[in-house]
Amino acid sequence: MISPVSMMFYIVSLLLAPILPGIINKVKAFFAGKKGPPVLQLYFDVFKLLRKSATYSQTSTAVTRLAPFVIFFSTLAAGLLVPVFLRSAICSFSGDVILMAYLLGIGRFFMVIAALDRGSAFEGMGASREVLYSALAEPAFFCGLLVLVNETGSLSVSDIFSGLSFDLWRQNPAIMLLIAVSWMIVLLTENARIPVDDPNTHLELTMIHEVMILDYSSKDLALIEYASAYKLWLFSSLLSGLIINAGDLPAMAHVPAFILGMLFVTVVIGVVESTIARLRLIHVPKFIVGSGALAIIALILKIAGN
Amino acid sequence: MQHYLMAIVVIVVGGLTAWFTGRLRPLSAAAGMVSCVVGAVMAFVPVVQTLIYGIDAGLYQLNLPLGLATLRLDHVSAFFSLPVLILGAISAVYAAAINYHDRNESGSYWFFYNLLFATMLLLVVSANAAVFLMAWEIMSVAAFFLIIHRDEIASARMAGWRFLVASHIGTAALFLLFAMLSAGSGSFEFASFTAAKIPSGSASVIFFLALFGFGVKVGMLALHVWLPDSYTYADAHVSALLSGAMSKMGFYGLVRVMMFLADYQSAWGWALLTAGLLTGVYALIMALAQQDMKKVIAYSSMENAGIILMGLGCGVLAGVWKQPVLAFAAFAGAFLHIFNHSVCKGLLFLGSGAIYYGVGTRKLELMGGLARKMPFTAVTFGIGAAAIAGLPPFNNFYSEFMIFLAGLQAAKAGSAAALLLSGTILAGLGLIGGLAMACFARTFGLFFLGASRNEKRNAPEEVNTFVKIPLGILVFIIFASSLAAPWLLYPVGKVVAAIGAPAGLVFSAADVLVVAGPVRSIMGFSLCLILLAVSGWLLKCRFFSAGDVYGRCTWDCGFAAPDARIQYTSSSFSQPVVEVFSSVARPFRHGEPVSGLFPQKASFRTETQDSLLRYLHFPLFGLINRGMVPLRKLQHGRLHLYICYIAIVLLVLLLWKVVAA
Repeated sequence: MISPVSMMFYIVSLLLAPILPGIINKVKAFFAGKKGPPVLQLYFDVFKLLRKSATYSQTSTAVTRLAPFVIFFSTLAAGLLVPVFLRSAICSFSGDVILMAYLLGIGRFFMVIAALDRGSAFEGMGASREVLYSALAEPAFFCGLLVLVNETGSLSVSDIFSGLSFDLWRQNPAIMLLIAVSWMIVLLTENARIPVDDPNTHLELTMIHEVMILDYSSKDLALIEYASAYKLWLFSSLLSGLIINAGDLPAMAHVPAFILGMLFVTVVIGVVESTIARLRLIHVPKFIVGSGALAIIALILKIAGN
Repeated sequence: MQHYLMAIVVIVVGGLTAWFTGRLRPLSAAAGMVSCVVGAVMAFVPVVQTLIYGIDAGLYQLNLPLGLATLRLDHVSAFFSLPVLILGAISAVYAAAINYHDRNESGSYWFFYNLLFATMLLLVVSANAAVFLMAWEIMSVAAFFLIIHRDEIASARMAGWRFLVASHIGTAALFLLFAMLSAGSGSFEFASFTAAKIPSGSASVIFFLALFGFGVKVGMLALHVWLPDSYTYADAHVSALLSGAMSKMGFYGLVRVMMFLADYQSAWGWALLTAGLLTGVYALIMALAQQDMKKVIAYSSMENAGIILMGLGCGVLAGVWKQPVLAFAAFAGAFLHIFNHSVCKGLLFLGSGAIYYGVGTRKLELMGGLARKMPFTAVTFGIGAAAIAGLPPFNNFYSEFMIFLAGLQAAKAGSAAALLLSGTILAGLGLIGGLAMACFARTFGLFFLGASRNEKRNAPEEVNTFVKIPLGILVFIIFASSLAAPWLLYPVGKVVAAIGAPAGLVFSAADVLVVAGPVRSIMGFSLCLILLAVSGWLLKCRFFSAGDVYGRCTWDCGFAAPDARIQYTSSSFSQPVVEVFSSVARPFRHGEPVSGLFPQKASFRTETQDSLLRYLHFPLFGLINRGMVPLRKLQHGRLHLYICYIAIVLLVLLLWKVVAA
């Protein structure tokens, strides 16, 4: 049965998701000594885009027009499986995290074929990078996950997160830290952040995510922008759920603790973006494979510990 | 069982009729096609009865002039005959419809097609090693003649020879395997193999012989080198049958032998798992580096064989550890994947035939923009591509999910070995899934989307209605098996139970539910997702598209004269992946670099040969060839000396008999 409280938190998280990029931008602006765009900038952008009418390229087919909806709804559906505010997700069953990863995969598949649909050199370039980086990030995410499955003895992501506690951090600090760092890299990769991709770059040749949506406008672009923000929200909530565990806290403290955790993750992203330069493209695969290596070290430590 | 045997007879008779009426092409094609369809429908009845109602007709003995042939249609046989029946019939309809038997001897082509179809049906029901090996051999030879049908092309002849050599090396292992089994049990009957207690040492030898012999057919790494070329140079419907049905016969053989060897050993499981992982990853890297559309699809067959091997390996390890839940998830995933992959791969190969029909080339670099000209092919191929990439609403995701679930179950189990297993499965399948997505986004996107890159033939033709029917049926089966995935678990569960029984694995209803529950939830998710995405799109088209502008130029950074050649090509798309895995795929680079201040002409071209073929098989077989040179003196062509050889052999045999007596 779907609990009304989980439903409410799901809707709250849908409403709050576009704040995250705003906070990251504020952090970056702070480091650059600027004022920066308002925290609610993405809301303004989305509302502006929703009022506009679209332009489509002559080579585009139905794929271009269907893709924003698939991307939007598959990301939203993935959100049904992710616990937010330190509570169980709306749906949970054994292996739901696999479905979550593959739901995001459908969105990616459609984004890639939509990019190829316009027949642009830039978009093809972005698509080709995107598929490689996401393929490399997948093993890292799953390796970290299975250590947690082993720690908690649960197979669904909600049960895993409710089973985590500060004791694990105390007993195996190395393992938990390795998983957290490895998931952080996965987050940066999957959400097209520095050092993998730069959301603010101006040159098409260097973009990855932004270049794939170059030809989108109006409502389509609004859906995709919102879906990207929500995807960032999902990965951040996984990461903050890993750091702040529900079991240690009284029920009253769950919501503020989760908000603190999300703020922490976004500030870390902002700090990373402000202090690290973007990697050269040939080094990006090494960086992502590195996250896989960290997760595998965590797994080896776990095997050795058993 | 009688219906099943009659179906085999009908298909063979149809093939013979097609051969004898070869001059009257319509009649010959009709005889071949109709007999395949009628035979498939006839055999379908007992197969479904066995799978759903669990009717096991028991042993069926056929008194033939050479001896007693024992046949049996049990759950495992029925399950493996399904892909054969579906693809045998559908590919036959497709072949007759697309009508590219434009050569005189189309009669013999149909004969070998029907023979291949019939022998595969015979193979899965044979319960006697001699019948099995005979069916196996006829199957390989029939497939050889189908592959070299276009024998005016040198590469097709080469592909055929490679296939013949590879399958005979595999068959040699099978002869040894069955010799060992029958030495242990004193009979050629499968029933006696099961009854005989085989000591663990020789059981291991038998298992690895089976892995080698049957591994050749499924395209296991290092034994796969015949596979990409054979599937590429055969016609589309033959490739569909070879990849969708014949390669599954390898899995059938492997599973059958595992049923003879009651006590699993963990070494077998690890061997299957490692072989599967390496096969899957290697195949995808090679697939991404290919520029021939059928080679891409062929390598993807190999990748899926890898996934199935990983599932089987996990099941075997679970059998050793006596963990029924884990074993059920892994075996059920592997078996469901066998079926799902057959259907998808059939669709993709038939679709590639339709593309070839429309465009007249197989080169990825010359594709593009076909979706406008061939919308039906585009939609069916797109569904096949999304399905084979393992994306959720489609059937392949369910089977991959079950293997993933087995991996998670193993992590929960907790021992160090189980964690290692789980890490291999999760990380391996994650990487394979990501690369498969890359491979099929590339294939679909470059075939059908963008602008046409083919300057010579700008007006591809859509296939006719009769070709659309088989493609449509396969899409229907994909949808049906996606929607029915939770219920398909029950017939598949019986097959798994039949395999687990000799190894002492007993599955309870609760074990089935552990897998069925999540599968049901996923189905709900998929349905909602399809509904929401499509209705959202339709709503937007209906109500929110006022003022939209179509037909503008794609953003090109201000460049005023965009051109189809400006698009990303297939090799540039896969270049980053090939670069990352450059130690595996080593492309040859040809061309002249840009030079001077005002460069005039430059070109660049890469091609990627199979790395194992290049670095392992060519040197190895070259060495064998040189070693065999002295033996050529025996092959001098003088008939009287050949007769002398025969006399000598007979004499030696006689002496041996006398001495032994």
